[in-house]
Amino acid sequence: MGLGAIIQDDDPAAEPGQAVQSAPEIALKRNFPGLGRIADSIKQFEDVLRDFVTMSDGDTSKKVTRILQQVREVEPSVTVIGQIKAGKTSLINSMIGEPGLLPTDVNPWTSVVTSLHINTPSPELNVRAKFKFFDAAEWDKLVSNGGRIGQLAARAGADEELEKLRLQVVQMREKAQARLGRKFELLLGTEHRYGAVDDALLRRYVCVGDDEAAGADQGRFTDITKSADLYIERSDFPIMLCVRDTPGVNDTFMMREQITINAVRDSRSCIVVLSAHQALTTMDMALIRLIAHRQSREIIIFVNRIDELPDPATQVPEIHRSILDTLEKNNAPQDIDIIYGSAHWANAVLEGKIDEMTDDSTESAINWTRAAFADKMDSWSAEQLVWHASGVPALLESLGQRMYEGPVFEALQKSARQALNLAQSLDVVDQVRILESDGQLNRTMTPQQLDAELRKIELGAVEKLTHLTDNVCKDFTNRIDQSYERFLERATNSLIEHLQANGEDATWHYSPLGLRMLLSSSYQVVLKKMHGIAAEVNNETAVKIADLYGKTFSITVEGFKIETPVVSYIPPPINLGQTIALDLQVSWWKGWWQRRRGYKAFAQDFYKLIRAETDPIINDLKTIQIGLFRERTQNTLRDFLQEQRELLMSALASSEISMEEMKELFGVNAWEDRQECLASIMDELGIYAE
Amino acid sequence: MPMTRKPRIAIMGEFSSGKSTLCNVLMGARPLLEKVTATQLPPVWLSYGPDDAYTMGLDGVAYDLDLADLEQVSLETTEHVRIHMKSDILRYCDLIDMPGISDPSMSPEVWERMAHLADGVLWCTHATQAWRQSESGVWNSFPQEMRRNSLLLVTRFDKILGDNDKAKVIKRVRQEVDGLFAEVFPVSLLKAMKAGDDEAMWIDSGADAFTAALFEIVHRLIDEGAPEPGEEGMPAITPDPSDSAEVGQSLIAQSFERLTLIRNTPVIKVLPRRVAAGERLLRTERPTGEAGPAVVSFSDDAMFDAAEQMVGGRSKSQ
Repeated sequence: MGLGAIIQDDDPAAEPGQAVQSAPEIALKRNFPGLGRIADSIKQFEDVLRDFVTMSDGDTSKKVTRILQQVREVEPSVTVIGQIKAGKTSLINSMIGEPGLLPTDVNPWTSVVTSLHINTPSPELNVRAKFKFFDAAEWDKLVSNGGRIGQLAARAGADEELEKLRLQVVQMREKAQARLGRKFELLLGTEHRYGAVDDALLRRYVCVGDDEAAGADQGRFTDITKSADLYIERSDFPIMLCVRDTPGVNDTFMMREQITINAVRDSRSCIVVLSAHQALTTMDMALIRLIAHRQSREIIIFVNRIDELPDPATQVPEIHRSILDTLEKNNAPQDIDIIYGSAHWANAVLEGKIDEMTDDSTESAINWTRAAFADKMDSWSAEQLVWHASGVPALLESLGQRMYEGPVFEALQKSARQALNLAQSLDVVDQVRILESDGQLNRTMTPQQLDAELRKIELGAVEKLTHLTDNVCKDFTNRIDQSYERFLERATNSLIEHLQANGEDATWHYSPLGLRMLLSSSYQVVLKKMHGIAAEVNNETAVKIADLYGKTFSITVEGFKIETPVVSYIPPPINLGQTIALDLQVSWWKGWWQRRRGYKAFAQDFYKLIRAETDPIINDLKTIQIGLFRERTQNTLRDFLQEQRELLMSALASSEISMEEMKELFGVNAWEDRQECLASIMDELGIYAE
Repeated sequence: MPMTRKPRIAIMGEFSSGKSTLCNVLMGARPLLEKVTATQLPPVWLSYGPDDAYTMGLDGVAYDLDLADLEQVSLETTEHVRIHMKSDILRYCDLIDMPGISDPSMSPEVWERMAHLADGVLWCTHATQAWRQSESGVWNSFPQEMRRNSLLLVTRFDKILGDNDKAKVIKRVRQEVDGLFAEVFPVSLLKAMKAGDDEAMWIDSGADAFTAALFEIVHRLIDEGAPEPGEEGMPAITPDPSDSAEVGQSLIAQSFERLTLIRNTPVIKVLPRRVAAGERLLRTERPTGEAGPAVVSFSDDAMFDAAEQMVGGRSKSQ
């Protein structure tokens, strides 16, 4: 962990005497080494694939192009979460270098999950903005009982909260009706598409409507909008990237919270935005817990608004210590990167308005730069200093690093292995031709026989995978059921002990941490086992197919092996960290407590309450998450088998073309070039495949 | 039965919401730690009297405390810290500085076990993130009777730039806490602390307006004797006489003094005349308690303002 400001890059553009550029340009072109590295590695990989295309026959080239397309579609994504008014939207605007793009306000404003696709081609021609409305079922779920939070409140007997939710729902419905007409329900399940993005448009769909604001249209569709997708081109941004903005949690308007919580699942990386004046509250901890079973590499904490601290140089280290302390005490994942900064400063630089900052803000900026960039005070311009003080370059750097090591690496690895298998099969065919021209080839299989052999391998592999997965799932389900029962028993016993020792008046607190840890560790175990199974079956299959190559052509090619496929990323279960009425809503728990009388009532009701709270979590783990895993591993295997079948069959077919014909086709020299080329491409792909 | 003890006003809010700063503005001295990160102190109960401090342990035993060791007070074994000092505001009421809510390293029990002592609450909420569900949830768990004796202070209000934005924030917060507090006041406590003799700055900080409201609440609590009626046969509590040895000289206490003068001045009410009797009826209400001087000069501008403020405050609360 480290202070963001410590990440300093020697920066070629920062040489003294640099010609005066407009401020935004300096800021953005300056510092994307992390993202640049991603762009470079993707480009290099693409070059290898392009070389591959140039030397391939039509059929192969189609296959390589498909892989190339897959690489071009790598769009790492990051979700920005945090409490209301932590400055998420401002931070996103400053990260992408467009200060005014997403509308912000002094009151909570963002109320729709907004995905900004930077440099990603829109899936539909000329569509730059797409707004999806809730479908009827989702809307009903939200408004019929206040969604999950409503259920929680109802179970905990939090009448006031429940009443508040009910009112919010009624208001939401009335507002939607007033703005969209009585038949607004017809809009549900549909979407609106636009060819351009502008402020007024966004205000209609993603902002909380403010009745007195100038535009009567403001917030018109917001209530029923589920998600917004915006496609933006930034030539100064080296890669494709998706950044998701979310409504803040801990809003008194509780409806939106559930939407945010679901959005967290869609991105691998998360930035948790905190507000410097109040670092890491229980609510922030709950958010971190929500994503805590991810690897810590996937979480970055950005402490925003340090511009509001009078003395950041002394206060930031204090805050840092306190955050580390809290994280440790709460068993949060280790090694989360914590970066300090101010989106406000970054946006001031981007707009070329650092002279217009308030005195307090300017003083804080000077105070912070003196501490964090003491060695650069003389060489950097004021813009550069403030830009770095804003922490945004450090954030992008850290984010780039994570994406480079995570999703980008994995995507390249997956594609490299596919390409390598393709090259291997071409190589085999070539070897076959050489043998044939030497009169040594012994073709032992007809296509029908090969097909039968392949079918045998396919059936065997799928069966084995299913069988092993079934066993693991059964184990997991038993294990979780047992320990769940034990947890409930322990908790109830501990409640009774408390009652016996302290009577009914002392409120009893029971932390659901134990259950959460238990579920989390069971999940980790099953995850590991599943990965093990997938690897075992995939490897075994790869060996069998390599054997089959040998059998098909009665040859052994030195160093020949089939690359095993990578099981693609499986998003972790969101439910694991989900709040349980007990640990978040203190008041609900107290209310529940005050309403109970008599030991029996306490114990029975408590058992029921916890059961109702946790059953969905357990079921989600047992069915959805395991199902997801089953599906992903099976799909990976199936795709791999399909790919290998095509390769082998076409190898067999193309080996019918004799060497003489090939030489005629390519020319003698070209043929030898091709061999060399193929060897070097295989070498290069090998680097990415490992 | 009017109160025979001083009303107790608790200072609450999320951690780092400006509670300690508020305490310092009220006291005019700086006895409490003021930190960006959560201050790890049990509730601190401040009362008027010769300097004395002790910690009340959870074992029910009081332990002497040297204020220099305040930071070392253990959260695990201490119920609260009690400090007596001759700070002028404490002549009027006791203050209980509560630890912040939503602090992950502080169990809510730490303040929950002292919450019942409070008659009214000054709730601090940070302007840039004002009034969140975590605050609303805790406040809803407090007795409803407390709401009319409590004020919501929107702190660091200077961090909201522009009149338009200021109005927007206050409008939203007022809507959301409708019925939950007697009133909502935007304040910049740092400004209030720096104000010194600069009256314009004091008024601008918002502290002046909320002082009047607090004064109202303190005296309503005494007059109504609710939530805790006074003891039979005892006179209603009155402020301690001022003492030259006092520390503090807080501007809030000074306003209180002026407001007390005004309060103790006889009020002349003219009742509507009954036509039939043809008699003139003029009644004079007697000063209550130990009355202050009967004649008040209104030459002092500030005092005039204060009187107006108070009248304004009254008419609003009716």
